Amino acid sequence: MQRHNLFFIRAAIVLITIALLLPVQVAALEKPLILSIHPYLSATEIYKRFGTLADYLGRELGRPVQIIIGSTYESHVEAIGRGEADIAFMGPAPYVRLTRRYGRVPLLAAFETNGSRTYRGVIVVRRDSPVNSLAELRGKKVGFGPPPSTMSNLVPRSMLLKAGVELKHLGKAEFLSNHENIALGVLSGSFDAGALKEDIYNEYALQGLRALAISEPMPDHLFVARAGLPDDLVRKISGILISLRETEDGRRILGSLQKTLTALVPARDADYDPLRKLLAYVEKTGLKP
Amino acid sequence: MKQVSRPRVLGIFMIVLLCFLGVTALFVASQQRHLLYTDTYQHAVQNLDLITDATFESLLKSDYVTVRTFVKRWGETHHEIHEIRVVAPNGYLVADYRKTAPDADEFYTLSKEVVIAGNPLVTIHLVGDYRKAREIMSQLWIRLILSALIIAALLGGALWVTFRKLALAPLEDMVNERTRALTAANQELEQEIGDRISAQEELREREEHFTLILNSIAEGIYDMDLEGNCTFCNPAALRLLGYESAEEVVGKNIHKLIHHTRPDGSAYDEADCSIHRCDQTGQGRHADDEVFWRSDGTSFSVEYWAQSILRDNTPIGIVTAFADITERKQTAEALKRSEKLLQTIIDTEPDCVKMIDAQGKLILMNRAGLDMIEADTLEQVKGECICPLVTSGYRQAFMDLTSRVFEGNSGALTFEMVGMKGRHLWLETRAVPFRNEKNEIVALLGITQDITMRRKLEAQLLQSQKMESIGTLAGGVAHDFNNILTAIIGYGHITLMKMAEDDPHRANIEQILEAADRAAHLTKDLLLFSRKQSADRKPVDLNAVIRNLQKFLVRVIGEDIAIRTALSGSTLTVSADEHQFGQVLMNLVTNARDAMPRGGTLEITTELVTLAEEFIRTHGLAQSGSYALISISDTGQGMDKETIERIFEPFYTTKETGKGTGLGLAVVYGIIREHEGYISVYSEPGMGTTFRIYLPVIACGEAGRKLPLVDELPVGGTETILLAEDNEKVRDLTEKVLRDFGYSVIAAADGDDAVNKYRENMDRIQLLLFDLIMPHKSGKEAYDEIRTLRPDIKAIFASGYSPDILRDKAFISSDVTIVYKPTSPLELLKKVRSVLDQGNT
Repeated sequence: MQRHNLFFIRAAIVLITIALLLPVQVAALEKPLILSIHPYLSATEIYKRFGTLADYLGRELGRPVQIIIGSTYESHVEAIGRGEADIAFMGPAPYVRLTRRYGRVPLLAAFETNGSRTYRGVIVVRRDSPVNSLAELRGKKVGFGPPPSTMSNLVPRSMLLKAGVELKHLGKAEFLSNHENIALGVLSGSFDAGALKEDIYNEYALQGLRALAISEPMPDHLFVARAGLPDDLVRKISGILISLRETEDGRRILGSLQKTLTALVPARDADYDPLRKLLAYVEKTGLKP
Repeated sequence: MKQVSRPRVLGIFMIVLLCFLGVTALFVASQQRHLLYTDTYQHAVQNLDLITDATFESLLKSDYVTVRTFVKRWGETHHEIHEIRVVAPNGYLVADYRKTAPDADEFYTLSKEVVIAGNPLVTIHLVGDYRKAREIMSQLWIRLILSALIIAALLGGALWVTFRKLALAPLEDMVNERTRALTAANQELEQEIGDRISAQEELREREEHFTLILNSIAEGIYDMDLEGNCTFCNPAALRLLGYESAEEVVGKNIHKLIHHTRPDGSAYDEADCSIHRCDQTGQGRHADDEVFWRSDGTSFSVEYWAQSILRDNTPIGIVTAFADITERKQTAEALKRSEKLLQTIIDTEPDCVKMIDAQGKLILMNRAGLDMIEADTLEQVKGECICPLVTSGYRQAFMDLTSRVFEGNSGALTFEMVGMKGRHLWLETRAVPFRNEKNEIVALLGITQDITMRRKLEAQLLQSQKMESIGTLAGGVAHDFNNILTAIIGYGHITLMKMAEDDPHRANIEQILEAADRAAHLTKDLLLFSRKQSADRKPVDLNAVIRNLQKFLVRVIGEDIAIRTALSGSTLTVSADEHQFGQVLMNLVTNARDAMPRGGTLEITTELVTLAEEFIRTHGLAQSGSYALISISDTGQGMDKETIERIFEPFYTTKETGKGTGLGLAVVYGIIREHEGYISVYSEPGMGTTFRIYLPVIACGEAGRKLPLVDELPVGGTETILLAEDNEKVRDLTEKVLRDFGYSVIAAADGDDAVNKYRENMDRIQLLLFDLIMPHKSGKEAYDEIRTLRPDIKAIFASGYSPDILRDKAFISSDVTIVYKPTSPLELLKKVRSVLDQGNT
């Protein structure tokens, strides 16, 4: 008994000493790791959702992780492309653009929502809307997301295109700052229809939204690292993200990132090839992305 | 009146003032409330405008999320706002903030429509409460009330003071003046009443006090009028006179009741009574030699004081105070008796008790003291200084002691004194200071003891001790001489025996032997004096001894001296060595003869005396009872005191050198002490000398027989004798003597040697001749060892020591033969022969 007590006391002393010394060293030696996030939600919401993840990463890496939010989708892509940010969370379309402009970057992890590596976009109307098809949107006021957005801009515009409706056919096309505003704009009657990703739709559906059309599944959002970030650090971050699903704390972090998020899984660049084709298609039809 | 009315007026004034202030405060408060509520409402309207303006931009950009966030933040930061709702024209609730306010009870509701270019965008509804206004109001109320109170106090006080100064002060002064006058008058009255009460109280207390004194006083007190009738009698008087109550005495003629008879029993006429005469003279009376009579007819000694009672200088009666002094008189008598007892003790005290004052004058001296100083009466010496009686050598010490005692010390002194009739006394006095009741030293108290007798005894003891020590010394010397003389005498005799009858040197040897013989006698005398010579004591009749010796004595003293004997008629049997006693007589007679060179008378008397206990004690004798007293008186030249003191010392002689040894009287002294007797001498120069010898008489009346003198020549023998002697010369001599007379001698050097030689020659040896004291093994020890081999062996012991010491020391039974050195050869041969012949006859 006494020997055990002695052991525990010694262990406690060693641990306390390490605990006291480590943060000092880390703070003194290591710069914060910059996590850049595209402005796909309001800044408040982004901090709310990603704050716990950043803290967790910081603890696990022994190095603080600082969140920055790109003022635009474009500046976000530039930040990671130029190596101003160390890691980035980005939508699939910005990723495709990133790789196109700056080449390949290390992939860390990708979203798996409701057990799927892909997600979909939805074109919504109010539940009491008389519109029942995409074609009927001609002459209507439609809300889109910012141009680089995958599910609130690129994909729904390609869907409308396929349905033969171009922007010029619409009564009014407005590009709002994020998916939530699109939902609220439709609900409050400012727009007749709006384009947004499926999980936001699910959030506001009960308040009076109806899905007019749902897109093909597209690879989901992903975490990347800047080119040049040390491999072992990349591996370590990737490992931390992918293993989140395994613990209660990890699952709570996943839930706070997005309610439907079930896991972070290894990302594969090939998954984004269909999106690359879609982008090429849109560009070929003359649409400015 | 003033004290009561002032606060009331002030109170009313304050209440009125407070009421006024209260009404004012209510008015102010209601105005303020209206202003505050209006202001709050206006503020809310402004708030709504602000919200509208703030959301307008966002709404224009369709940024609903920002509107929602703003509304929520606005609601959270404004406590008074309960609800903000942003409603789209289609009724959709774009933003909705609500919070509950349980403590609010007054609300306002505002709405505003956000319109752009005539199209309504949203309508904003705002619900808030008047909480802030209410809080300010409640604070205002507190301030108003406090202010009202402070103002009422300050303003009221100031107004009151002013009012009083102006209006009330003159009136108050008048009232105060009047009140002061009344109070002073009141106090005077109270003082007067108080004085009267205290005077009465004092009077009553004094009366009670006197009554208490009269009741508790131990002395009896009574009053009587001029007719002699008792008018008052205190409890002590009743108790002392034996009455139960005052009624028994008051009103009666007191003289006839208690003072009717004188102490001697004669009638005491009232007219003669000194108490009664008091009123006539006006003088107080005091007496302590009269008696009062109790109710039971007994009387007691009384001391009284009587005094006239005067009123306006006229006597109206007499007061008498008295006390029973029976006990005091008894005490005085007891004191007298005690003094007498003490005086008797002092008078009969055997020691002198005296008191001397500081001048050395005698104050007191008891009978014993008077006897000591040979005074007939105290009056003869009282007031005289006794210092001159002290011999001059001690006078200064005596005076020193006296002054020391008067300094507070005690002391003791031994001194010599000559009595008034010339008697010398040695006195020892102890003196202490005698103090009076003030602790002052008033006299020297001395107890003086006559120690003359004690000093004499001490001197005698000293003398005895001196003689004893000299005797011890002389005895020791004599012993050593004996061994030397034994050799001289022995060899002299042998030489003489072997010499031819006509040898011309024979006369020389005979001279030597004669001188040695004298020396031997001298040592014997010394041993006698030192009691180391054996005394062969037997009961003898002194008278018979003296008669036997008388013819020798006559021859000793010569024809010029007449000798007279007066022997007692009774037989004086004493335990004595006849020879030694003869020597005593011879010595004394010789001395007497020498003291009477021109003739005179020598008188020898014997008588039986009974000595008193004190004589026995003071003269160091062993027992009291009958003593034989032998007195030898001469009519010679006598001796002075100094000579008498030293007369018994050995070697002290007044005779010419060569005529006396100085041992004669020393030997006498030794012999008499040996016989438990006592010898005294009385002599004065020119008056002759008397020696008195006291010897204890024994009951046995049988006188001892006279031992026959043995004059036969020694006879030799052929037996073998074992001789043991550590002194070589003595051994050789003894061996030679014995061999010359035919004996075979085996000589041994000590006890061990003797035992060994006996073992070797056991069959031959018939007699042991052993020195008692030898190294290694004493003669006695050797003898005892040999006796284990042959119990009936015959033995003779030789010794130079005193026989009684020896017998004790060696445990030798008295039937063993001992010869004491120096032994002449003839004596030794006789002893040897007689011991060898013992048992053979």
